[in-house]
Amino acid sequence: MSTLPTNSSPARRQRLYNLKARLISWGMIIFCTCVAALAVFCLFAIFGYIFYRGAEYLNWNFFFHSQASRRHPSAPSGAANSIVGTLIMVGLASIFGVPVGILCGIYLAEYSRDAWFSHLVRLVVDVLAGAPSILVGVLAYEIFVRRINLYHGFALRLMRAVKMVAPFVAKGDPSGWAGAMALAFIMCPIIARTTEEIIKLVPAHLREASLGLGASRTQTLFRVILPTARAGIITGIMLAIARIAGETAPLLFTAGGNNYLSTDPNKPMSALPFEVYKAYQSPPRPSWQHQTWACMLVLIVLILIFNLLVRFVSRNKMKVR
Amino acid sequence: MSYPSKTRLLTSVAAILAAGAVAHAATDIRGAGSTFVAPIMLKKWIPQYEKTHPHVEIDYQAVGSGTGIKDITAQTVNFCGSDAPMTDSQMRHTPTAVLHFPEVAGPVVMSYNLPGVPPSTHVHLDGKTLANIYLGRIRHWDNSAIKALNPNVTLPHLRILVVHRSDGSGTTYIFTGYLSSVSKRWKQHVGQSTMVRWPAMGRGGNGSSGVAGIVQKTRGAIGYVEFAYAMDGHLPYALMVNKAGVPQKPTIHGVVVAQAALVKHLPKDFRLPIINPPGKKAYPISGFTYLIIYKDMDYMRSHAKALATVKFIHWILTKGQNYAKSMQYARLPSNMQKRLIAQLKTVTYKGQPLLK
Amino acid sequence: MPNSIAEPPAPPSGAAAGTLPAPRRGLVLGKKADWTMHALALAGAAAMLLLLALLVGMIFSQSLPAIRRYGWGFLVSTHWNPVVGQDRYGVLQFVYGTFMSSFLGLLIAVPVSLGSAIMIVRIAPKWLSGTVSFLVELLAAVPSIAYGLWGALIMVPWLQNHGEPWLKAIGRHIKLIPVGHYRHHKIEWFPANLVHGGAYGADLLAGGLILALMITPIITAVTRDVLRAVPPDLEQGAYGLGATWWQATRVVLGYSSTGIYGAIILGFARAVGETMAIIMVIGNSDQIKLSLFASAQTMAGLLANEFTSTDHTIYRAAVFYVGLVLLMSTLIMNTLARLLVMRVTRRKAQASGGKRAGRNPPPSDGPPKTDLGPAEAYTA
Repeated sequence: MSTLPTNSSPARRQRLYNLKARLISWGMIIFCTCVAALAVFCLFAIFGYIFYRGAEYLNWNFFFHSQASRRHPSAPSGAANSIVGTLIMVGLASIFGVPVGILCGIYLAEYSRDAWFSHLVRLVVDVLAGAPSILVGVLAYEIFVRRINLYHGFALRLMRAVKMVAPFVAKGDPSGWAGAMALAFIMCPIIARTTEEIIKLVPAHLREASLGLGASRTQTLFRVILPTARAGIITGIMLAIARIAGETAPLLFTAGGNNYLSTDPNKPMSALPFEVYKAYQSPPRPSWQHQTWACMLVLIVLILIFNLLVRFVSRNKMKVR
Repeated sequence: MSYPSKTRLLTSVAAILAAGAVAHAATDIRGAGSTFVAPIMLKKWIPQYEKTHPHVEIDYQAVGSGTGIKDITAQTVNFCGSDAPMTDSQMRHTPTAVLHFPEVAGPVVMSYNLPGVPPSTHVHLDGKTLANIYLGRIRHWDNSAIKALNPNVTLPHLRILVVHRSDGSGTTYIFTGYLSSVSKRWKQHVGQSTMVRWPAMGRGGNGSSGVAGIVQKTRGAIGYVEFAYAMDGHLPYALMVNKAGVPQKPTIHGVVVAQAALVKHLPKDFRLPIINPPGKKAYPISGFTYLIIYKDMDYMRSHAKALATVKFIHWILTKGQNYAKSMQYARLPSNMQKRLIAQLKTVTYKGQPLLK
Repeated sequence: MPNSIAEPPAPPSGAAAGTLPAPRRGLVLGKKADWTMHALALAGAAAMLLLLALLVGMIFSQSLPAIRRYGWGFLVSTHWNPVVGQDRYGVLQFVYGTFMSSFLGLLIAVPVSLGSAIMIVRIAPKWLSGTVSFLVELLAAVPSIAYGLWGALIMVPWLQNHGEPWLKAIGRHIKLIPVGHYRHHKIEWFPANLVHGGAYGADLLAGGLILALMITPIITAVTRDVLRAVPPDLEQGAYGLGATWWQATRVVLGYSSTGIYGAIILGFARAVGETMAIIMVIGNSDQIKLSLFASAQTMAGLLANEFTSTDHTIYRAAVFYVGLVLLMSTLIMNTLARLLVMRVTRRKAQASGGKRAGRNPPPSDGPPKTDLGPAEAYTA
């Protein structure tokens, strides 16, 4: 090619450049597809293994019997106690965690005009999202279970007075409430973080158009911004729920575990990951191994069903996009 | 139109919760702790006891001895199961005095992974050698010290991987107690505790199941686990040379003999691991698993609850012992049982003894 | 919460950008509602501050004895001996284990998750993108104890028997920089020393891999949402200027860089705080050894392992001190990351001349100026 006249050099450089750009482009397409395939493969490797180990031990007894039953001491043992416990505690945690998390996210994205304060809140949310769950569990333990050092005299009487409103200020024992609050603590920053990121990505012209048409800020928030960001916010909530449903460490001290079926959050409660942990720690007798894998499978299937449900509900409303 | 349905959802959740909050009249007792005692506690003792005592509901959570001790210290459970007695400093942190009740005993087993050595050929080890392995002074399986103990076994030239518990554990307490009793160097540099600074760099397993898992999968590994983990996990285990110089298999009988030899030396509060007892048939490393309660049960705020707890412990110490052997535990010697029941009679509620 | 929300308005695609629905009676939200909403949002933010204040206060007060006795020396000491009477504590090896494993995890997870997110949003046909994104979300739903069990039972034995011997066979011959001496005066070479030591499986490499597996779906899911929210005119503008697919993608990535940094920070935070899975695979020994095949211990792992066995005051305080160091290091990391994001945003703002460029740059604000973009190529 050296015979070509020098004045064609820019065109040649152009062609070479285009070729290079296209090659890189194709390379990146292939790379992205490959890594996505790798991620999906890992999913199947893990899920496949859990399904393989768990499915052989699953039967109806597992769902309808507790680990121990007072009326039928010889009944087959199952995990009804921990399934119910997980559902109740995650539900209670969401009632507290989701609104607080979303409100904080909205604050960060919409109202944070004081620069230093919003930076502080953002930093705090990040730190909380990274705090190890066991420490959060210890905090919930100190507040809701031990409480001896926290509430004295008047404070204790006040707490008892509001017991009707907040049942979790019962006497200091491990309880479903304490476990739920520990989970809520973990949930809030995750939701706040994702909510903020998503709301911030709502294009400014949508917001400006709404305000320009005379809508108030709150109207704009509820009619324009939140609906547009809904899918992302729901993803954030799902991620948070998936995270807390699988948490073991914070429940160890707060929920306490219960081998009997209990639906009263004032009493100790069990949860699926908690049972998995207990069974894993126990001597490798066959029945305990079954418990480990079957509980794990049920936990994952529960989360799966929940994911599908949320997806279904949110899809019906998402007529656009 | 999504929000009304969400409100309805919340209402129904609240309704379910309210429906669940129906109290029942039974006396419920809560215990937590040791995983080692969980099989007999959950499969035999609690179901059998509840059969004959229909008004009592006992819940035991096998969350580990450490968590159990933490719970009993904070008085959030009624009794605690622990594989090691509470240490002096732990007992200083409890609000009032606690009592230790040995329930059953079991050996601590040295299991290993040696490719080429069939599981029926048990490697023999003695205390000195074991201490040197855990000190990192013996690095290979074909070391002359190990060879001298095993003249009939062809040992491979393989790096020894020392496996220990990574979490604080009663088993570690028993094991390091044994090493301290047989090796001065260990006593000086490491000592006895539920958690120590391991001199030889190896691997830490979370829980006995973690240790058993690493030993099972790693060539050249050696680790200490409780009896049930080695037996049920089909791990090869070493014969330990006892004080009389006889290599002894870790068996229930070996522990029973060891207990009988040590029972005279047991202190008043029973806090003593069964380490290096005399006797040709005794297995050198074993320990009781304890049930720990408060001497003064006022904190339970219910006479019925305190009485039920004490009665359950009385049953474990007497009738409950008959289930020990079938579940692979060593039962208590009969003279020790008498001492324990005498100790149980000192438990009080509002100043009054609960048992007469 | 208002009890009704009308049809959501058109998304940025602008398919049916109509007028806003007429406000309903009872929902005429005036100044008062604005004020209430602002106050509520502020309360949400304040709740977070309170939570962190409680957490820090609790940990700090519990760790006070150790802070008094060891002070700053705790941060640089590598001695951890909890036996009564021999007490000496230091955190450095756990800091090393934490950051090494998390860094390894990020090293693997960031390219994989960015690639997956791009594939979901910009390559895959609609049906495939929906499926893959759902599967990735499922991966995020797997509890950490499941990762731990899978890692300990499947991945660690595989690493021990296949992965690590293979890595070692290749890696030990790559000798670029001499960094020191082993015993017996053998020279320690830089990349080769990363695979030094016995390949036992339960080590830093296993920890890094399991962390990568755990944070990949998180980073992917958030990045995917961030990329989806990018206005399509950006991409169309890039194509209109003759950009290739990758060049257009870089425009999109540049636009959403803040969100992507956020996703990565989220993943990193998760990796640093991870407990259950990591203690099952990382080998739990307190040492600093620059090798992928050396076992280590993380700060969160130490908390999980030793928290319940703290039998004397100073030990308990030292464990809480480790918790404090962990919290503070996440604080420092986050501050650094935030400063970085701020700098990037400001630079972009200067480049485009708009004040809110980070949020909504003009479409022509293409890839960074370091390489010859297509537009410049034509004029060259």
